[in-house]
Amino acid sequence: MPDNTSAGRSGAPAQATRVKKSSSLAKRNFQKLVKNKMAIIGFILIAVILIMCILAPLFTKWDPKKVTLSEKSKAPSAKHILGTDNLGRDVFSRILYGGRISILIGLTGSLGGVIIGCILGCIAGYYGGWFDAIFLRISEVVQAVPQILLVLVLVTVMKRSLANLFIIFIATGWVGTYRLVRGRFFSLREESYVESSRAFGISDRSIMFRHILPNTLGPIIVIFTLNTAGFILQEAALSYLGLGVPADIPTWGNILNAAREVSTVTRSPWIWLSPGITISLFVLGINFFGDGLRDVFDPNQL
Amino acid sequence: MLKYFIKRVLSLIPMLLVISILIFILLDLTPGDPLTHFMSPDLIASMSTEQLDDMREAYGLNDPAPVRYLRWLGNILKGDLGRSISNGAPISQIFANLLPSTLKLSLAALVISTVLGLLFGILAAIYQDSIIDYICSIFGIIGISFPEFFVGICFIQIFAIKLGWFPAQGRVGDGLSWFQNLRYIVLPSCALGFSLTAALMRYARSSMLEVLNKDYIKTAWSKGLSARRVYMKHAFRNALMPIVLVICLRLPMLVGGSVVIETVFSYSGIGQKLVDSINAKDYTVVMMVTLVLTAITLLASVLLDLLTAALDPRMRLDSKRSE
Repeated sequence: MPDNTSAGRSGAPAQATRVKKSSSLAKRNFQKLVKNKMAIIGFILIAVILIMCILAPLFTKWDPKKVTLSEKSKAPSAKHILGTDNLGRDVFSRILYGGRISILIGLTGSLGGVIIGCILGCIAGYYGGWFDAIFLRISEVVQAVPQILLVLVLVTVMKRSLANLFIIFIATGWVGTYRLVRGRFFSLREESYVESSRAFGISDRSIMFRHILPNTLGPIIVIFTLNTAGFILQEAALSYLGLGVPADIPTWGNILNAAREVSTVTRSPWIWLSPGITISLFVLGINFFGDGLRDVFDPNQL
Repeated sequence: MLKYFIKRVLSLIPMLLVISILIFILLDLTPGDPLTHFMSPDLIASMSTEQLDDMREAYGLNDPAPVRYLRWLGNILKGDLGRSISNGAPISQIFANLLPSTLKLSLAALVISTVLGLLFGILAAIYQDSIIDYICSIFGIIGISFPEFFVGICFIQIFAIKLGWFPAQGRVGDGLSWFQNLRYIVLPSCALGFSLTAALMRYARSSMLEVLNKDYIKTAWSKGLSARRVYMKHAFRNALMPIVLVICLRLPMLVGGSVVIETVFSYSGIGQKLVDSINAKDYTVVMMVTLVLTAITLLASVLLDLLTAALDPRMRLDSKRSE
């Protein structure tokens, strides 16, 4: 398992290969990541889009929600860089402001799911017993149902709102992390350092969160990044169907909602091409970066 | 072998029961008068409150939840899936009309993805670092990044509108020939299978690479076996197992994806019906579609599981040992 042997290496003069001094695991991993070109490209993509969305007012002066019917469906021009949509709203500004919401949904949904999955997985993996049995069954059921169906059913029962969407995503997204953490805990809790910790009288909670969990962090971080991508795609699909974020809040998927009519598809390609490409580039970036992370944390994993 | 088979199929039942209970609870939670699940809105409007109360008694709507659940479940098992709230049509009829098209679509997408994904993934592994490998990796990453409906819209724009090779929308009536049916399915199934193809390519490639590095492959090479033998008989079959597992895990996404793709292409299948029902607040249809689609997904993954087990010689040995 990870060996923090900076002590072992730095004082050894007679090494055949030159070893980088002061190389903690974190630093070595970081260097490995930085060398991975795809991961860097991914990171740049993510960073650029994210910064542009956060600093939206700097890049565009148009109000993303302002309806100006006189400017309906205008092609890209000097005035509107990416044209206007079918209600006269500037597409570029909708993409920038919408990006804030879309990325937020992706990140929080993923984060919430990971946190819950972690906690549940820790408890289930460490203690086992009835807790594990119940939640394993629950996770199997949640996994068996196609996620989008689950989300659609919950959308039907609950009101359409941003908050509800968060809840729904978190409720459906904790399963992956849960199973991962649970699995790792099962294998790790037999390790000798756990036994010795217990012999020292360290509390269970401390063992779980301070000792075993850090060893599982790697794959968890990878899952977090990939889930973010997944949720962004899901939100886009839901909003495209008109069932996701309420229509008055711009998101990438909402902009694409206009493309449900074939006339928009043919006559105003800028309306659906821009948000579509933006989503694709952002998710591409996440996937590149996530792949790089996965290589760093576990090169053997698929 | 047979024991495993039976065990696997039986394990489905508790899962389906739990899901059916969940769906029933959700159905109960939907707003609206439960009487609408059984009677058309005009009929309800025409009756007085006492008559409506009588009707509620008659339909057993005042019974406790477990009783109602068992009755509902019993009806389903008898084939009565309830009625649509919007137009009173029996839901089993709706399924009979629309489900086959959706199944055709999903199956086509599955076949296309599996064939293409496996083919290119394995080729990429065999000819590692060649141009094929490079194209594969690029396509692999792009394929899982693009939103499915965006791919669908692009396909419509490129292949249907600009090139005119395929029709942009709609599905076939049963009057059309088999070949014409095919034309309607090609674009949607390719769009649906796009991300699965990419994912399978990546998994096939890494699984194959892992197998090719194993010792028994090196033994095979040193024995002087022909390339074809090594790759097909030894490497491929061993690489196949995790790939089938991945397909199993991704089946739910295929079902989910068909909901979106059917909407994009206005392909009249059960997925589009689901979306329309949600907008029309037709709760009975929504819940029943979810239940049936989940059941089908579960069934499909069990079938795939059994297929893997049948292919895996370790399973056969195990059962021989236990006999």
